[in-house]
Amino acid sequence: MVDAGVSSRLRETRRLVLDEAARQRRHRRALEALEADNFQADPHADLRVSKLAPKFSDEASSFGPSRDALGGVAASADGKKSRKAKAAGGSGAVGTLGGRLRRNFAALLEEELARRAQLPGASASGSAATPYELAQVGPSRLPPRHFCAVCGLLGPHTCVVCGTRFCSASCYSTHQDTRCLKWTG
Amino acid sequence: MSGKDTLIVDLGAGYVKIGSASESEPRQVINSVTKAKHVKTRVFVGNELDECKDLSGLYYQLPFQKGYLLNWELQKQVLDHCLKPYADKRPLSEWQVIVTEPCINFSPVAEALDEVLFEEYGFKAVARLPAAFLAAQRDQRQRGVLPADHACLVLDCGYSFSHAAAYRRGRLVPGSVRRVNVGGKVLTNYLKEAISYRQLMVMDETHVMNQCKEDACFVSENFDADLAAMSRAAQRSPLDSEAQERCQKLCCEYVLPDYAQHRRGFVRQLGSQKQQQQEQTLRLGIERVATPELLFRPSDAGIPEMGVAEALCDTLSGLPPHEQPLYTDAVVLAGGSCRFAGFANRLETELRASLPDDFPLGVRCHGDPAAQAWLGGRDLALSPDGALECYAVSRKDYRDHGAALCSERFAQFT
Repeated sequence: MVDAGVSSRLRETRRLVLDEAARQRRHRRALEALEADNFQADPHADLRVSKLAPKFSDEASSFGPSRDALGGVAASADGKKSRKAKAAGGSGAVGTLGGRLRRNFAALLEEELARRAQLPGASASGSAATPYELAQVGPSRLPPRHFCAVCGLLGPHTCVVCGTRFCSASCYSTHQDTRCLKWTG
Repeated sequence: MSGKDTLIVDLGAGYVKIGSASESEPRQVINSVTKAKHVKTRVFVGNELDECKDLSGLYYQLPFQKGYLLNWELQKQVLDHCLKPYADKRPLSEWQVIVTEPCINFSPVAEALDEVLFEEYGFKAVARLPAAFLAAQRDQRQRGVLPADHACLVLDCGYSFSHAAAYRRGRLVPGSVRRVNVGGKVLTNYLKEAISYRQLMVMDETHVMNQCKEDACFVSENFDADLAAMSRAAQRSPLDSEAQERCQKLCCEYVLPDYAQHRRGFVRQLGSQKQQQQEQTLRLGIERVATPELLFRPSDAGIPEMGVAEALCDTLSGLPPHEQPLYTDAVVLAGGSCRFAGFANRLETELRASLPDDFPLGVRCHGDPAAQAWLGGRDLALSPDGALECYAVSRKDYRDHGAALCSERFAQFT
């Protein structure tokens, strides 16, 4: 009776079964993680350049100004444009490109779609698909294989709660202890 | 124009392969502006990373997104760094350049590239060609086939994605490009995740795990048999000699770099040496083959796409039936992700299984796959018939006719 509190909480979690939409969401997040460049946050994000720190003028170089010790590049990773690129104008790093300096892939794809739609004949044929989309391969003809999420070998069984695959009782208990419904996000 | 003053820049999302035509192989420069956890006073542009003592917890800032060059602020820094040795030799305005782009490019991305090469760097002439096109050129010259008879399938497995494309008589066959969104980056992330869950948290160590992938992973010639053998071993069921051999081949230790004794990790056979103190090791098993397996079966990671072998067959099915044997005779491998040991064998097995048995099949790779496009560019630059001239746009023409000429000329090859 002592552990009644614990076990009821455990039972509570076990009864919760992820529905299809939630599983899809998880799956999508896992796919996005595979595409990520970095897992960790920018280690220099908290860095501040003191206003009092001496500013060194750019060394003379055959092409364009070189970057300064921290400021220019360190800031450019995040949302804001670096102070340097703003100031650069016509003479700076890649000044002539103006607003095309940094883009976003989704915006690029959208822009391309809009351009295709405006082309003469595009509306008539009804297909405004871009070459990028046309090149995308379809799903495989082969049936998918499933692997145990814990040990990586064949996983014939499915976790009732979250749909993850596992291979044996011992892997299942590891899964319950570590990942089931505790997955990142 | 002589070939010697040509620079070939294979602008990849992972590595820039760069060199002049008089060199025999390219220099590989990591295409990233990298921040290190413990070095807060500077960033590392490209191969300046060699100066960094501790390569753990690196933070990448990549100019490429999904395989397309989108961030010129970063790319300019890396290019400046790559071009410096050549600009020191003679001004860039006396160099002509061959630069690569993806099989399918977006016009704003392509125009920005032309603009930077002409207006920022002031190259004498620019040829912007798809990497797969250069690989096809290399195959044609290396095999000594007449351009008019040449046909090949190119499989370009890069950092962000893999492309299959068909080339005939030096031109892309329209509508033959297929893209599989699996490349080196996905493989590294997949390996990272598997190791992080099973053994040691390495999610932050993209650089180290990328090296681990390069050193330890290989393409299995029979993945299902490997899986079965490992499963039996895990259940402690009796193994026959073949299964035992498979398990032995798979299981190894990967000694992580400690940045005191060694800068790069290495593979060690299990039990071959006593574990040293303060040494961190990973035990690798099925991960060694399961990781590159994603190229052939993206569905293993839940990516609903065909594998590269299927994509090649898909490309082939769109070609005229009587010409198909010509293409299957020359399947050209390009791109760093084709470097896995056993890749060519496995591709051959898979293609053989899905092609009619009277089709000839040749998986070809002329030298290092990663350098294939670069070498193709070099062949093109050095070819005695001055072939490069019809691909390049000179600075004068660019001045007179503007970006439209570039788009028009280069569009013939994409």
